[in-house]
Amino acid sequence: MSSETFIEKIGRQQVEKGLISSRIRTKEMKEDVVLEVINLKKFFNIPIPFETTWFMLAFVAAVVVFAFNITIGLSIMGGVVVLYFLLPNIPPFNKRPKVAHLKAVDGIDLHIRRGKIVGLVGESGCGKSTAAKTIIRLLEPTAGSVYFKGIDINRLTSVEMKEIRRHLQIVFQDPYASLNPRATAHDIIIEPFAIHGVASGDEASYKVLSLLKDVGLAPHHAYRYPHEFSGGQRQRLGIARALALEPDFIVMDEPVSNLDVSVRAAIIQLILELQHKMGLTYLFIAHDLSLVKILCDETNVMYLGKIMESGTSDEIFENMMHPYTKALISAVPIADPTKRSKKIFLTGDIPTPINPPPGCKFQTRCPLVSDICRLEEPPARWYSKSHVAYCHNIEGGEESPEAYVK
Amino acid sequence: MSRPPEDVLLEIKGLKTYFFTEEGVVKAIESIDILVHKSETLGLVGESGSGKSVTALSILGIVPDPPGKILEGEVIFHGQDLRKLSDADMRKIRGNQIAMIFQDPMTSLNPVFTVGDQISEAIILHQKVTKKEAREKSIKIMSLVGIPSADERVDNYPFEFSGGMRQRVMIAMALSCNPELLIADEPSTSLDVTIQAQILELLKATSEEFDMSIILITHDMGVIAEMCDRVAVMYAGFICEVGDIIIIFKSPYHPYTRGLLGAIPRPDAAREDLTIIRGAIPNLINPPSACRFHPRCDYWMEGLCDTILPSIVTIEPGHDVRCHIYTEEGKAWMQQHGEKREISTMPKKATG
Repeated sequence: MSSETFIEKIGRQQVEKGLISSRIRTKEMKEDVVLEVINLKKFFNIPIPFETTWFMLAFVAAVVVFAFNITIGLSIMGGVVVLYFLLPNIPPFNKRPKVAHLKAVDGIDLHIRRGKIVGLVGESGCGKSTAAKTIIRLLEPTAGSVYFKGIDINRLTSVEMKEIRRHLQIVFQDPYASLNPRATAHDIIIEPFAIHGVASGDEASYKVLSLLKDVGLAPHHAYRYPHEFSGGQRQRLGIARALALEPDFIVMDEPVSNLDVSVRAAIIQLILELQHKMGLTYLFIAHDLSLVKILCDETNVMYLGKIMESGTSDEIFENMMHPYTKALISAVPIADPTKRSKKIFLTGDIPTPINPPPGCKFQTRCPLVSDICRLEEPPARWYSKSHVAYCHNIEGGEESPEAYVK
Repeated sequence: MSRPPEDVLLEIKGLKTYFFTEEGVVKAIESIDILVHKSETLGLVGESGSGKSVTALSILGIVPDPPGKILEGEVIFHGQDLRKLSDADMRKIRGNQIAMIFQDPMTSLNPVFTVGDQISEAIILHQKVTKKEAREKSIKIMSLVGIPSADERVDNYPFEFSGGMRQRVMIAMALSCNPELLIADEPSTSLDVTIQAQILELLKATSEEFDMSIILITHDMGVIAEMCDRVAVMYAGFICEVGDIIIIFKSPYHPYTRGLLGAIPRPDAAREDLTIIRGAIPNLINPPSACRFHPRCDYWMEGLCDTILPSIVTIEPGHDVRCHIYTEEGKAWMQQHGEKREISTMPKKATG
């Protein structure tokens, strides 16, 4: 297939230019890694407005003087304005930085093998969705690299990126906001064909119908508008659009959290069915842990832009090590009244990711917190080849995964 | 499992609430019978649009009118029918003996008053206290529901609180007059799991402390399993099944209850155990005839379920089901057609 050779060509060029090491490419081929994310960071710069209280007071005073004596009033006003621009740099007025960093994603690593469903879980505001968008380069990362099939997608030109986009798709959380209300289902699904010149005319329309069938919609749905569909049907439409270009990798950004319970199960079954049929690889983002437990092969627990613990789903749910994972899992209500669990309660809410304190991100709510957590980033502790937790105060584990490779 | 009649706090009999809209009459609640005992937590569960919230509004007599109207039924609280009370008498009960927490704490708190003012309002309305005493009481109740430094935060406005804290303010407001019955309409749906666990624990603790009954409305079977003593399953304006929590989760009798439980990931269940309920909840302007669940039901008895509404069958005291599988008509149909309809049990792993 021509697209395969395109990826290979880009990969070869990147190695030749010295942009990526050949290690990544051989690793990809050997372990069948579809996507490798290394130390990915995404910061948003938020301008902080000046605190104008002192300035306003001084200016009002100047206006009062101005009423009695124009010359003195004007010169005081001038002085106040000059001070306003100088003082923020002079103690004690320089406490505020002009820009705050919102560290939405602060260095995450992911390793996604072909045909796997990898879960990314965490509370709202922990950066899951930003991570997803940064991984498929809908947002430009602040630092770090994303290797898709051994090529560094952040170094591609926009023309090259367009080719790669066909293989990286996303299904958004809100099926009400992510579909164009003025386009019919047919128009929505046919758009990718037109953009990539895959098919046109009758052939494209035929493909649309077969995609609708794949996601469990009927042919007569093709000429309906999004508002004529229910929430579950809309999400099916979103999935059909993502499938249109036969991608290898799909990010599922909370695809079922806005849906009703019974519809939720149907969409999950569809997602699994399509994976079997088309050999897809998913990054599944969710906050519903009971769903992640049964759906995902591997699970990554995220908190304030950092991965706290990652491993296979069995390791995470049966043998969790990190205090945050423990609290998060114990908080999930279990649908079995005979097993009312004892819960670990976290105090307070998730703090803001703007200018976070040094050390461990979880320090403000952690039941095990000690002095070192406030100073140093927690080290990795490996409990198996795939199971790692980042914490100062948990016991056991090895310093590197190599200890488990023989 | 049934309790003596003097233990009953609230009884709803044959409640019927319709909404008269321009598109047609929305038959939101057709016939509802619910019993709530003293210091018991009753779960009301169902998909969105099944009439859970309208039931809550009907109990308190605050169905928006127009377009809504309670047509029939009795809401008996402490032996008196709330529907026959005058507006003034009803106001004395509302917020005092029966309180409610709404789903979205941001829209149900008034943004232009401090939370202290809003909590005090209920106290001043129902108790003979001065403003100052009401404020002190507000601070006390705020710290009781776990709001740190309540004496400062009492003067904050709702936007200065996080989602979880706002829900705590709502709970404080509801608890301020020591109600006997608390109706909690999806109290934790818009919150994160860790915050949800805190709020549910708070509700549990306060219900024990105040000896209060709770009607907990949610669509999350997990929350029901954690919190409730009994559960009522609602579908399109009817109660399908009501019974003790452990019995309902272990061996549901109604096909809809079975479907709801199959559609959620249960502990120890595998991917394959997830089952689907076909179709979607019907439009209640033109609901399906007789048993409203029949178009989605795997056990549909043709000619019966779509013509005759099943009556309520008591499986054992306290466990009622509204389904033809257990009625005399249904048994006659099965004999006549030579087909057997039996609810399959839950997946093995999940019941263990």
